Amino acid sequence: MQTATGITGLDNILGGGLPKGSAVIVEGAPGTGKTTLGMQFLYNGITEQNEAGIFITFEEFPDQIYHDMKSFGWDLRALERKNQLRVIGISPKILLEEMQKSNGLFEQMVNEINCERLVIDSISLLRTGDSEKTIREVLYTLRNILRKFKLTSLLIQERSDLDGNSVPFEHYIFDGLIRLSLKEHLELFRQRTLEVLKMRGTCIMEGEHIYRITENGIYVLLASKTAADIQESTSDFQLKTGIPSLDAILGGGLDKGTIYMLDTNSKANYRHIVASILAQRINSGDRILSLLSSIQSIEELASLLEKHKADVGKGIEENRMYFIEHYKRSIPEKWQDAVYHVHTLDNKSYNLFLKNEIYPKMNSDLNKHKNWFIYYDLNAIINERGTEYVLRHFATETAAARSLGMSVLVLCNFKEVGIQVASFLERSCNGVLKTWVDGSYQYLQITKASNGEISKPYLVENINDCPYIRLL
Amino acid sequence: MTETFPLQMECTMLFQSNPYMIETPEGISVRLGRKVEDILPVIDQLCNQGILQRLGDELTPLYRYQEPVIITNLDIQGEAERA
Repeated sequence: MQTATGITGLDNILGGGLPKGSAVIVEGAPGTGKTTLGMQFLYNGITEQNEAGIFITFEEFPDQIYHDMKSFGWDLRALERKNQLRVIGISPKILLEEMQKSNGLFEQMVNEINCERLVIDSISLLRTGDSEKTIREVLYTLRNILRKFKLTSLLIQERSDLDGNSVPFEHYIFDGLIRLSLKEHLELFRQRTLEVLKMRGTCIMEGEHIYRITENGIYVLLASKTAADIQESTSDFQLKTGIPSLDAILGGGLDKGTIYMLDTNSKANYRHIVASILAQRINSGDRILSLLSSIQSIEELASLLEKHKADVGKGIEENRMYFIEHYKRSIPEKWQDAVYHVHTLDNKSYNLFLKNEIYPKMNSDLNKHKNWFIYYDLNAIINERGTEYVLRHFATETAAARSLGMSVLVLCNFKEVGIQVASFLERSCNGVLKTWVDGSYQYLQITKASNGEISKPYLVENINDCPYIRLL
Repeated sequence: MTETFPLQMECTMLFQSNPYMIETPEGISVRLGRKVEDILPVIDQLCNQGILQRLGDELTPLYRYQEPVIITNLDIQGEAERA
């Protein structure tokens, strides 16, 4: 069970909020807003969840905190008068003594306001003077007391030595760790980032997320969220990829009527990704146009699609599948009518062929409300027609496809085409799925999407059953 | 009494501004930047006046503020009848 912090962005990172009853360290350098985050957690708990809270400060005067927090519009004294909050100034030694006493001051105050949330500012002051063993015992006792009272707690800590080799034992003892950092940004500015490094019992969004201290308190902007393409993200129609984990990352599937690029390096295996997407479209009754590559003949593609439970022969029989063949390869007699041989056409003639034969055919079907899905192996076009051809025609072709409401999957190796061409291609597409091999592992990441979401890199795992891959 | 009055005011203001502060005499002296021996008689006076409350045992006393009781709803007619 989780309890929302009410802090914009942080609850998304935590998958809903802090686990109820957990004790979490908030670590950061001076000026990162640790106290603000702690108080915002309590203030939101009172005003949004009706959960009373206690803020314990060792060094700071409570009246300084009342004053500072007023700048966010939080009237802490008013909450104290309603017995929903206590800002307690106390020394670390007395606090510990009182916490351990049966019906001590701490217990009395918790019961007095029916406290559910607690912030201690800061546990670094519990470290002074004593040996490591004693401090460990103190912190262990503290954790156990907080658990006994079932208090959801934030324990503020001055930033530990991040460059050191040893991990502070607090990080093992407590349930979670949130790190606030201050980094140089554009030379003159400072960038504040928040990262959840540990949280027992909940899935977290990994990575450093930028936050700002606004007039309403801390506001976290998720790292995986860029400006969304409103026009595209409003589409309700999504095409399943056949890979459940990929659909989940894409928020349901590929957006219908948009252009996706699958950027793959030479070592990565993309065949099952493409096959799974194509198989889904074939089995959904779409019209398919596929551009065959030098390393995959129509028979090889049919064999792969069969593994993904799609019947190419049936699709051809029903006049739903067409292929553009750039190579002089033999085609089974029964599939001849579905294949356009273009190896004899120069670039100009090829372009005319698309305009005069392919587009009108598609247009005629689209007028009958039939869906078209195009698989475009751009590597083959670059090899056969050259980069110049791609630069001249790709944007026009994708724009035409988009305007006709067709969905397109383009295969390309950005690394091979160079930065400038890759950048141009990326601009022409609505989404980019990037897959690559690093060491002994293959990864996949959504690096561009119409809804603005950028995923973390997922590991691509081979599995024995269809769709033969899973993202982890 | 008159000699300790400024210190009494300082101490009262400290606890009034920080009503949920709990301190030892040593802690109060640090917070006010005064000597403990000067603070001790003042704390006693404030306890006798009901401004501060003494907690803990005699060896390790703790002090906290006692909020004055404010009557917000006074029943005048009832009071008059009782008189």
